[in-house]
Amino acid sequence: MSDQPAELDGDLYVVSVAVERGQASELLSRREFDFGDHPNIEPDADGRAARLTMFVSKLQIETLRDEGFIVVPGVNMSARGRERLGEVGQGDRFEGGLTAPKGIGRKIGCDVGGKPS
Amino acid sequence: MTFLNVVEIESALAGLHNAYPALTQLFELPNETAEHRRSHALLIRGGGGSFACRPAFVFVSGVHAREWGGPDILVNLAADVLEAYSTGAGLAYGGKSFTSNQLKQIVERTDIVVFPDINPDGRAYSMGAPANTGQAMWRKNRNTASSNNDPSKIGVDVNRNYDFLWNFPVAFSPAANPNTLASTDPASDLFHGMGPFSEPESRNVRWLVEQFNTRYFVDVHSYTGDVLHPWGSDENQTTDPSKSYSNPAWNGLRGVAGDAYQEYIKPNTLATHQAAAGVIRDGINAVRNQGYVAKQGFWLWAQSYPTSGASEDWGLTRGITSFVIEFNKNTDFFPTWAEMELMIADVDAGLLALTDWACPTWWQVLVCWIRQWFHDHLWAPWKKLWPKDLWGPYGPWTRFVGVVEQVVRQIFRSRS
Repeated sequence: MSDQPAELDGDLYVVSVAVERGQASELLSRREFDFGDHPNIEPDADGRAARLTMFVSKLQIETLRDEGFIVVPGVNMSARGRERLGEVGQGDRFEGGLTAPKGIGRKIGCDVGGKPS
Repeated sequence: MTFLNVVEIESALAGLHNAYPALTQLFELPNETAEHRRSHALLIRGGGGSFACRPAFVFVSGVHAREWGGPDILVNLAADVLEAYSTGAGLAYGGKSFTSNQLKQIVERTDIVVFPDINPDGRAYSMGAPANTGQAMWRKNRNTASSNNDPSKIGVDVNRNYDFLWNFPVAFSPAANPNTLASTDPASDLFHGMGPFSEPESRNVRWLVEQFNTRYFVDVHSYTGDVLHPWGSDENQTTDPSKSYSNPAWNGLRGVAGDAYQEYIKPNTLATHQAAAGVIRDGINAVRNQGYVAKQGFWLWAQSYPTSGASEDWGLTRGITSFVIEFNKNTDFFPTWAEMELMIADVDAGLLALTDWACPTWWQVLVCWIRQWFHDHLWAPWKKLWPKDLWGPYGPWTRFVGVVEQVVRQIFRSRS
């Protein structure tokens, strides 16, 4: 939505934090961070280090950097949420059940009239 | 199209029921949410009636408010299956397809139950976010019972509220990761509520599962691109049944990798979960090769990720083959709708692949009918004739026989 502010205090950014095994465990045990649902962690090719995804504020990014972590910031997830509100249905497209939704799967082996070919 | 709002999810289910009344039943879930919303689930059952061991697949989503696409995935699945079945068509998602015959067997030999929006209050809050807030990132429900009027303490993580080692401070080791298990702090995103099944949303799931012969349960979340199977409490092991969630002797010792405790799972149960998780993964990856991974929920790279009160673990305690799908390979709760449509195809292909894999063969259906006939006509009448409370070790007839035996013994003793 064009009237959505681009950035607010307390917005959460998705970041990728470079971690070794012990560091990942230590970060995951800290209550101040949001790791999404089942966290995303991508090991490097040799399996000794990985990149852990987190949702953190700008202040937390600075804290992590002060602690020596390499933090690669990604998008402002809070702002993306605000932006995507423009892609949420308005009203009721199914009119309280008078209309049924159509699935996006391709129906195969039937003609246009809906009968099997 | 765009993401379904909370009202539209319920209308879509009603619309599908109205369009396919002979193939569907609409269930109103019995527990009203904190904000007085009622949820519905849709049963798809073709082939004229049920049979006793007809397996039910219960698919749920929307438990975490910010994981927007889950309900859209399940509504789409129902719409696709109903349209394809009723027109005699097959169904294709990218590179994965199902023939009309496969769909016919699935619809006529199984029950597919979709409960797309477990947490409508949370979704309404996330999707109704004012422009100057970050509340689209909301995760929990909107229960205020533990908030003491503090807005930062509203809500329970419904996926820490199921009755599986819910009391994590007692059940788990102090060394287990406290930030993954759950939380007793209402301000936490992992707050587990005031007791197991304290939340109407989790009670609704329990109620729904109990209405059917539920053999498979899938809880759709986002993100990471994983298909997760139990246990989430500790490493799996198949040799020592005493090391179990149900054994309080192991309280205080769960949730740590590499120690004496690992959660017991029967070998065939583990094999079934691994095989079925692989089927879902392969079904998803066949669409456009997204590289989804199937694994045990406890593991996260080399780290452990113990959880308490989670739905898939509770499902397995009920003997149900249970999974979590974390859709979306990108680290994003809010894909564009165009991206979401691709993910709907991915996950629906995976779910249909599971139903196809686990669909009974004709001889399994026949055996089931025969077994049920014997149960109804022989075993049940026999049990009526010999009820446990009458003929069991403590029943009145057994006691009477015992008294007669004592009298007979007394008579013989007095004669000798």
